Amino acid sequence: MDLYPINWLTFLQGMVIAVLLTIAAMNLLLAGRRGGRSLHGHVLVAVLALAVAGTGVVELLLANARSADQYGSLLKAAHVPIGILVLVIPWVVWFLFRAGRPWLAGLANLVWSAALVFNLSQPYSRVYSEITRVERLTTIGGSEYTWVAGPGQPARWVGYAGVFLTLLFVFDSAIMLWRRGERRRSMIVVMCLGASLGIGLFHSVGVDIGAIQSPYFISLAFLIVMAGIAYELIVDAARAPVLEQRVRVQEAEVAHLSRQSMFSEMSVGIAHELSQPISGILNNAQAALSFLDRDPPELGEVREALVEIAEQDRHASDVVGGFARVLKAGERQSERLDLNEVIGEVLELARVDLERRGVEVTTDAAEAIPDVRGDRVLLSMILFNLVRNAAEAMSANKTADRRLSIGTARRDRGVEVTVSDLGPGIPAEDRERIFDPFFTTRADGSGLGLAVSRTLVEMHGGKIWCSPGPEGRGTDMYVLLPTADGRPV
Amino acid sequence: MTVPTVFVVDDEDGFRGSLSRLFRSAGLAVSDFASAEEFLAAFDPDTPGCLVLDLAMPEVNGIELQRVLHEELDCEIPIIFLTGHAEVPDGVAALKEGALDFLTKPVEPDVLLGAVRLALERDAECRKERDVLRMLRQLYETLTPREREVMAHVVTGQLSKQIARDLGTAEKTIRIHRGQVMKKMQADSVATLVRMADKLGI
Repeated sequence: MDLYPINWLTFLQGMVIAVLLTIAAMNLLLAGRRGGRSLHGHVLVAVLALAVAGTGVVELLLANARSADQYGSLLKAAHVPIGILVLVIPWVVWFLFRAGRPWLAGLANLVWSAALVFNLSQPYSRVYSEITRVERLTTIGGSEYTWVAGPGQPARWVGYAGVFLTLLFVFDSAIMLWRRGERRRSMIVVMCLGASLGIGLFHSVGVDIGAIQSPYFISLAFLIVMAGIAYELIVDAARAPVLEQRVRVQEAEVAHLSRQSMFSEMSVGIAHELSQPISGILNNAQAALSFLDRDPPELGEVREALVEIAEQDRHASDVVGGFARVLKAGERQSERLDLNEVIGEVLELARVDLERRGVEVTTDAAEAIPDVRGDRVLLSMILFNLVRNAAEAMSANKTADRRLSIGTARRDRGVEVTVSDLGPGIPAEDRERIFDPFFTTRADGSGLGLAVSRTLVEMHGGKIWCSPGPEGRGTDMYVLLPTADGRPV
Repeated sequence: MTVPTVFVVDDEDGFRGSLSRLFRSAGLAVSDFASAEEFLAAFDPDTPGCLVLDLAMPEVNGIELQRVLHEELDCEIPIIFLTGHAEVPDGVAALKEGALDFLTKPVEPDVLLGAVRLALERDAECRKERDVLRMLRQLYETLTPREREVMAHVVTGQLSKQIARDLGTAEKTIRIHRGQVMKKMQADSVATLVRMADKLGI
């Protein structure tokens, strides 16, 4: 198209288009790189920016139109980017802030779409039924632009109504956000969006009906809010790697501390477990010596004591061996794990303790569950801890009533482990507090086991919670871990 | 008289066996039980001895058994607690209830034997004390109400004349009662009678 010589208006319009295209490009790039939750935001903002840029291009051409026919078809074409812009705005608000009434957005879209269809069927767009005057006017700064006039389409008000409904939706969602207490960032963005849309609407109506003599500047009205939104999203994106790094460092620290505290929890268990046979060995050795010192030595008793010593030594070795097997993974951090296998190891480890407590274990392992990703030692410790808690909870039960069951199940979002006991249960008011640090009901409890377990489970992208067992008896503890290829639950 | 017996109550078979063997090797009579219920079913409070008790046991634990012995059976057999890991609050509770000792496994055999020997001595002393007291009670039972009244006055150090005035009777009568009291209580002096009254809580 043949443009008039460049003046500051054309220059300004060109700049606005360039800025908007840059914003769109940056957001598309970020959308490609970040994915996940921020993907929608970046794509929508890019679409918005492209639509406003398109509007800017048409506005530039309109200011340079040379004939009524040319102006008419340009105005028709202008409704493509403006059309997209008005259609998309409610959904940007909806996706970014979860505010507004979707039915209102739908209604606005519907009315606006009707206006767009009508627009396509008219030679001089939905605005004019005919263009009778084409003039070159001068703006305040001395720039010339093309201005037209002519009888308006009676149906053009349908289009204005569509935009007005969109505006209504935006302000309605702004009120919702205000009531919800999100008064800062989202309010500013939504209010600015509404203001841009409002200014664009009323200015354009003014120009359409000949009340205002000025070129269209919808793109200019939107530039500010676009820059604002883009700024927020880009700053977000720029900060993300720093935050991720910080989170990674903290997770490493938590993992380290958790390891230590779980090791110490387990050490208490080992010490307790070993004190029994070691004490027994000592007693038997002392007894054997005394029987030997008798005159004559009572060799039968000595022999019995020695057999007993060997037996208790074997028991101690079992305990040590079990712990060594779990700990042997050492510092290996993240690997694919079959939870059924981990449970098997944990039960092997707890076997001695469970037998001593007279606890009967039933396992209910789901077949072919997907792998999870995690640290073998940490996950074993979490489960070991749960098994020990369950066993301890039943210490006051009759022997026949000390049944612990542990099972796995495939869930939509991952693999779930359940550890159930028939103990006295956890009162409703304590059900959340049991995961608080230093909350304990046992005289010898540190109150850290479940708190640390929760931290560790969450670090693995999972969840841990509890509920009363069937018929209100005992407690079911749940651990849900994401599959190795899945997202956090 | 029956031989003092070490009663061992522990649910862990291997460990209980080792305790029995240790005590037998030291020449002590041992009787062992796998649970508090078994022990209570077989136990005769009149048997001298001491109790070596595991704190953490299923069903009835050590502290509960101690309470049953003290409160329901009024039995003061000395108790030595053994525990896997020192549960301090439980230890305090046990000692408050009158446990003789509270030992943490693994325990040095010599320490354990020392504690058991001390417990047996303590039991023997207590039993002797209780025997003396029982005898005194029997003697006191033989006194008439009037003689008991007179005795109560005598042990406060009053002379016969003062007692006679207090009880509103003749000094001569008091002297006769007084002689009867000394004879029935088998006391050779007023000082002895005072000590007896002290033991009887008069």
